Amino acid sequence: MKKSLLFLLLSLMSVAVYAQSGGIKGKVVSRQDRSALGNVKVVLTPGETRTTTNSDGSFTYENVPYGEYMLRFETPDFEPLDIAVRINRTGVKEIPAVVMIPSAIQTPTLDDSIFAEFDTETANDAQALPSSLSASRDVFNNIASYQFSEMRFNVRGYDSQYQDIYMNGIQLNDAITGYSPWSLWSGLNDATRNQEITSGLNTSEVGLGGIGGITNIVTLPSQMRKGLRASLVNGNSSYRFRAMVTYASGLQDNGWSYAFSLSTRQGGNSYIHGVYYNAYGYFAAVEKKFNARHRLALSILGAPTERGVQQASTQEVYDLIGNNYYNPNWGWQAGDRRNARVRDYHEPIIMLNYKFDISERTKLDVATSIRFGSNGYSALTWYGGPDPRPDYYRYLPSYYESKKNYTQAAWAYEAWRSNYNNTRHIHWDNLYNINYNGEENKLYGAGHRSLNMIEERHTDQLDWNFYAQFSHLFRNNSKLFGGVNLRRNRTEYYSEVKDLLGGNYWVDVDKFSERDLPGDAAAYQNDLDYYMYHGHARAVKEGDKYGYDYYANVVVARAWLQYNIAFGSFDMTLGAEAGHSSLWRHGVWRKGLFADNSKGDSETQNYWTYRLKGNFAYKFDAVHSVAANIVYMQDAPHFQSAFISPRTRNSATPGVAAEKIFGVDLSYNLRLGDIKARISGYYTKIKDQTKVISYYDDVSNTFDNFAMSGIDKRFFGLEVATSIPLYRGLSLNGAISWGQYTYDSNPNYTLLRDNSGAIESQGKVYWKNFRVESTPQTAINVGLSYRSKNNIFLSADFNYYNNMYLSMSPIYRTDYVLTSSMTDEEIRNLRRQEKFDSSYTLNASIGKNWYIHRKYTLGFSLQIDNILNDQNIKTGGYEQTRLQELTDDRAVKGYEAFDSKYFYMFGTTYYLNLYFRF
Amino acid sequence: MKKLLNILVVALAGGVFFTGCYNDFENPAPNKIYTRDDFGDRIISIKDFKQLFYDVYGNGAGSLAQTLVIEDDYVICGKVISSDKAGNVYKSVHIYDETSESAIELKLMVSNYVYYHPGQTIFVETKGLAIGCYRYMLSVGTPPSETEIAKGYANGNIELPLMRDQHIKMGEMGELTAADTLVVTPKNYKTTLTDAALGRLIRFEGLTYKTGEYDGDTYPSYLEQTYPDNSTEAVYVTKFYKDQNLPDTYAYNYNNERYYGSSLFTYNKTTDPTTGTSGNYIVRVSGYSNFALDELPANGATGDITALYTKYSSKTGGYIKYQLLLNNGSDVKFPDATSNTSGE
Repeated sequence: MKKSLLFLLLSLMSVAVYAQSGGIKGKVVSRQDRSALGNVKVVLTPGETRTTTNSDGSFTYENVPYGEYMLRFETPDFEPLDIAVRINRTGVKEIPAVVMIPSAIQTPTLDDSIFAEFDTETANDAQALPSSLSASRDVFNNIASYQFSEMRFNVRGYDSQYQDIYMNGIQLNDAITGYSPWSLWSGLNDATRNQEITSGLNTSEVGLGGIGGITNIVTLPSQMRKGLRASLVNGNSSYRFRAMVTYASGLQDNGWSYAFSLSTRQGGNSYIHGVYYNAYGYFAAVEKKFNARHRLALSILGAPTERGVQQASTQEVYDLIGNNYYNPNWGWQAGDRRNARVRDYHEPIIMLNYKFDISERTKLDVATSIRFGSNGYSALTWYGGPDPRPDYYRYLPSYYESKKNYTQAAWAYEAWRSNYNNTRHIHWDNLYNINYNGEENKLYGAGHRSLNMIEERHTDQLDWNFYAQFSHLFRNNSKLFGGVNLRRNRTEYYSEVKDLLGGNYWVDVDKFSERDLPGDAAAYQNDLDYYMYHGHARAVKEGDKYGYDYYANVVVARAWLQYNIAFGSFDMTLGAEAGHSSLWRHGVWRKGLFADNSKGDSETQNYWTYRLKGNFAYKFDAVHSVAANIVYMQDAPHFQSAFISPRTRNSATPGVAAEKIFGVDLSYNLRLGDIKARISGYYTKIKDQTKVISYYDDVSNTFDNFAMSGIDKRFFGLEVATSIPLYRGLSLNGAISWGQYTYDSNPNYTLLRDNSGAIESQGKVYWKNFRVESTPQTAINVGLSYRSKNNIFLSADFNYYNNMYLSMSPIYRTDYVLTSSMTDEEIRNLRRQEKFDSSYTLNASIGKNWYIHRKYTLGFSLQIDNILNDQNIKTGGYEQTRLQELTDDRAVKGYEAFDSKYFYMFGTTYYLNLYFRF
Repeated sequence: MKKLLNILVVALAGGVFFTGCYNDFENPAPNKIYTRDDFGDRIISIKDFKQLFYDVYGNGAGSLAQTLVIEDDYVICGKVISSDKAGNVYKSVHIYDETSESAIELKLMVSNYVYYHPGQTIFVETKGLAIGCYRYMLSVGTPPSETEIAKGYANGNIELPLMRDQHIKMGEMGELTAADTLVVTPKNYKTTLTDAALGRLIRFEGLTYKTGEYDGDTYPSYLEQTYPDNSTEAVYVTKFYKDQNLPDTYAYNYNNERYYGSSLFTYNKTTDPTTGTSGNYIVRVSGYSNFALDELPANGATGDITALYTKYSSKTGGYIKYQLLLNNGSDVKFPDATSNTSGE
């Protein structure tokens, strides 16, 4: 059997060898000044045979079998270009000048700051993350990135962790959460502009990928376009201004090349008070080409960023304020706006890449990287006293109305409407005054005990990666890629005292446990060993760790192989990957509640992982082609969901299991002259996801962990996109994304009391067939763009969105919250999922650039979004996990959902970019 | 080119400048400390203030659940004599006016101890508020809402922070002195302790702890509150620690369930305290208090208790009992009492 398979394979491979063949030669130049363009990526399809142009712009293909081909040219700052080529008896086909056109508009809306807004710690509390944010040559993906991202659009409905993000071959998705790591280099747009993108289920040279495509960012200086580029941005949607300067030397005669980039982003936006950027970015890379076969490169990049954050609020609050852009996170302090929730991070990456061209046909890439630094996110915390958040539900008119207390409802209403006494904001002076008068206790040293403070929750990563990849091009132009990826991640989770707000120390005890177990002082210690030694809890000062301190440990090893071969018009890639993941927690402190299960190493969770993938493409002729892809994979759960309450103990999440994904898609591509179109259908099934939610239960007055396992999701839909040149530089673009993304199971849940680990309830979450949240499941774009011969660019886009749903709290969909007196209708109302209204937007941009002395480029672009200034478009939201008692009378128990919280799209915004390059 | 670089340098430097601006915040000034001068002759004593209510409704059973809305611009002031820090005092602050030797409860929200410290003087601008009588105890709160009236309350809690701050002004910090506590002994309790002292902080010296029956109830006990079969209506059952194999404690707090506990302390050392109210005091403690699980003294033990003196009855005013509301577990000083709440 084996022998016959081998024979079959060899026979197939030999077919191509015996076919008659020719070649292609050519030179790539810029339309701007006819100068030669080096380092342009050239791909010949079918066969996906790649090469790059030399410094004089030339490229060559040999032994190309007779047939019709498409040559694709891609390089940063230039529009991608496709050219049809026919190889026949004429021998080597010569293309004297492949003219590439400089990019029109400098990706104005594609600012990666959108990613920085994503808070991985409390994913629900922040805007959802769009999954696509890269310029791509695919019309659909371009529209998804440039236009649909305003609605936090997820391509095919997948979360961002299903998009694999690589840098120079190393996968940098967060080891703990899986989220895409864009914030690590936000602001360094120029340095990270050089990206190799494969979408959907396609494989890439750097790895097999999953279901959401692969982006490989290349920061090697020899690959960056030589020259200086500088830009200044003024905008009002995320920050006020950005300055960025980048220089790349290109490959010098002595074999060295280098590049650097610096940037800063400053200020807030026009809609939300209290938010701001104080962000910098730096990048430096140096590369040495020792000879034709050996190259070594070192890259360093980082983005020290401080950013004030917005949080969502309820519609009641938005209506009281009179707009949908309220931010509860800030208040006045001595005349300045102060935000309690500030992200402050600096996590540099250092990367070493070695490239060894063993032969003309065999290549080896080896890389290693380290990520380190600190990542903090501040929050108000309080030991005693009232909730300091201004939009706490008990401060709102609705709370009093529900209790028929119309006097206080009226007071609250008036106070919110008129912002009397700054009702809408945090009362910093109040918090300080509480602390000024905090109790004095010599046990803890001099001064007053703070009852309110700002803590900074840290997730400080130490992430090491190793990657080795080889490729071999066989004589029949089939290719074999393989690689090994190793990763060791150790992330320290702890909280730090950031500001004692006028007090002198904070007593480090677990306030919930203290209340629940008041008689047992040991039980409510966060650091029991300290307490046992000193006889009292630690009095922490600013800069001290407090609360919890543990390490998340992850070790991942993967090996993969893929083989690509073309038989005439048929192209096929088969790939397989096998791997292993280990996860464990290491507690630095012994928690009083779980003295035997919190310090030291937890049991290690081990998972075998694998992927099988097939990409198939068939080209009927130069106009029509089809492609089909299939994947089956099993992935380890992320640390975040693998442990039930990692802040307190070593216990694994009940029911945690490896996640399985099956995906298939089918595409039809049309290329008729300059008319391009694609239609794709896809179906994906994700099984056995695990999720943990921790929340305060207002009915039981205690902190709970809600663990779900066996979460299944199903995604299917259609993507249609087209680009049609109309008349003299005017073209029509359009895209339709229609999908149906649903929960496909009623997952199991276990509800545990956080202070004991005792199981309070178990059962099912009834949400099968409810919709997956956070993305419009229907999105339509129609756009016109125009480019004049004298480099004026104009575009206008109309976007329509529908079928977007609110993120659900699973607790509302359990039997646990039902009471015997609830009617069927009340139960249905509690479980119903909110669907957002459909919406539409109009965006436009204009740009022009000038070539000066055929050497310098000076240009600008202006993007104006949401021209119709619709300020009622919901871009996301979530149901609050906590539930409240029906009344505050303890004699009546029942659950009622808190109001949901929403994010809204900004009204009209602009983004003006001035740039200069030479 | 040079110009452009200059612009960039200035821009980057501007960025550095901004860095300073984002995080520099001056500490706010301490709040204003109010004095009697701020209110002048609007101040009346707490005794006179309570009298406004008694003048209208008397102090008998007919005054129960009655409300007097204050329409005049009266200000009362007193020292804070309660603390909800330990979790036993709930949604209230008691203030004591030393000039008239009278005290009253202010009905507020939770965690008052962070604002109002024992010994601190506070001023209450009462216009628009209401004196309410709940089972013989007077308090100051908001005029009652429909729901509160339905529940038998004569006034409501000032919950909204804004409303609280409009009515309550903070005076100087101070200490509670011996003069602020009424001392009652086995010898003088019958004469010294009258209903005029309701709401005051009182040190009961030489009280005896008793187990067993009094006025038809058995002590110590706790009031279990359950919701059988997911119903919304609570079912109350009086239970006894010994039947559940639990030590006798001030209240019940196990497995995230918390119930009020009641225990009996008396001056009737020799006679069986089965009837009458004089000299018998129920210490009622919340399951949420941090001394809920402190063990009660041994039966027959004698010691001192400092607590807020309160009165309770049935809805119609019968079955009168005097209850002691403890600020802290440490306010019970019995020779063999155990306390687990001494430190953190």
